Amino acid sequence: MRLALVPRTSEFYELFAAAGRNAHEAARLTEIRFREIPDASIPHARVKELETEGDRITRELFELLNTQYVTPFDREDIYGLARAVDDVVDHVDEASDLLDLYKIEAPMDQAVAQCRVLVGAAAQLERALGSLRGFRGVQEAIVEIKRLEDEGDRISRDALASLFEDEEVSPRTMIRWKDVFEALEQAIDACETAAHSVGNIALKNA
Amino acid sequence: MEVVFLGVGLAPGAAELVERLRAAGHQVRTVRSAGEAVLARRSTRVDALIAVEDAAELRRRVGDVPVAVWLPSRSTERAAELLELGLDEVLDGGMGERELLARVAALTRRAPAASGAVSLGPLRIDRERGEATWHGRRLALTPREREVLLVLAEAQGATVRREALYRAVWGYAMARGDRTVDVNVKRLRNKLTAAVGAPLAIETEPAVGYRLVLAEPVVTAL
Repeated sequence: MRLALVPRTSEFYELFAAAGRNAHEAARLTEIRFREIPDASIPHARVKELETEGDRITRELFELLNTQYVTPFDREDIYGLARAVDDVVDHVDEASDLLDLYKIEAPMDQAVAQCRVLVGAAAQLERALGSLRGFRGVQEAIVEIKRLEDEGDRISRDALASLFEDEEVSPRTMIRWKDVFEALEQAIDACETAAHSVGNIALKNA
Repeated sequence: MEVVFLGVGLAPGAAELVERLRAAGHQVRTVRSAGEAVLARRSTRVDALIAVEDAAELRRRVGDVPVAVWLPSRSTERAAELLELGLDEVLDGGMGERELLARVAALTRRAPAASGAVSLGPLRIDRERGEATWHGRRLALTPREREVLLVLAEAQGATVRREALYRAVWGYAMARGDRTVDVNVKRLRNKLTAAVGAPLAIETEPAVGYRLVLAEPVVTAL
């Protein structure tokens, strides 16, 4: 493959900003789904479309990486960050899909609380990814994502505990919600992993 | 007679007993948990329950339906313990077929009379026939919505706690944070509003539960 000598660094920034917007939107739609079931105004197909769009952006970033001689950051950092943001959308998509797969018929307060944290973290991730040129506001966004991840951990622990408080809770309820709580927690954790990648890049390049 | 059998695969002789009961003309439904037995009791008429395990829990959860325990072999000590716990009958592998069938028949005679219907003013919910009516006109409800309505109507205007409603209709304990009751009450409320209107309302007691109330008849002075 020929490496282009004319730098197209601005495209990297634009693609990361688009990936951030996409992840935030996927989280936002998923939060609506969790809040509105069983009459959700957003079908899972809408979230799936964003997951596909996330894959496309990631692929484009990799292609750009393979064809550019000059990159704004270290290649492995760009690769790692693109993968980390893609993971966020994948986990969000999985959580949203479980609502249909498990035929969940009503909201669960703790899952809605997890979704709110997820949307907050994804919004901050969008902010960080949109600020890679110059890194203005990036540190604040990373600190906020870390705080939200801690809050998400507390909610997840409480959510799991709620399933085991009474031994007469239906096994079906326990299986369904345990998996959903874990999927949402992984989505929040993925935001933190992505934030960590942004932090490393900022440290090297700011 | 309708008999529910819990844990048929868990003890020797239980499957044979089920076969004998069926041959004698009983409808026998086998279930695998106390929760399932409670659900069966809520959705259809049940004249007796026979359990290999969790009999004491069943006794606590099924109200006035008689409950018997199956012991694979005769044990007078164990039988006495179970009867002292409040179980209604102990059947064991030492009994002959005629005695077993006679005891089950005696057990089903202790089942409550099959009224099965609950009324609140012009509202009537008939569990046996599986229908709810308002002034004799059938309301189009799902079985789950009809069960919710039945439990609310049974309370005769008193507030039913969300946890109690969940246990009565779904047969299990409600997990904290679960909005299943609220979603189903909302749907039922919408259907009642459309079909009946103002005279019948499901009121919410925030953070507690729901109650079904009839509006006072409007009296117009002439």
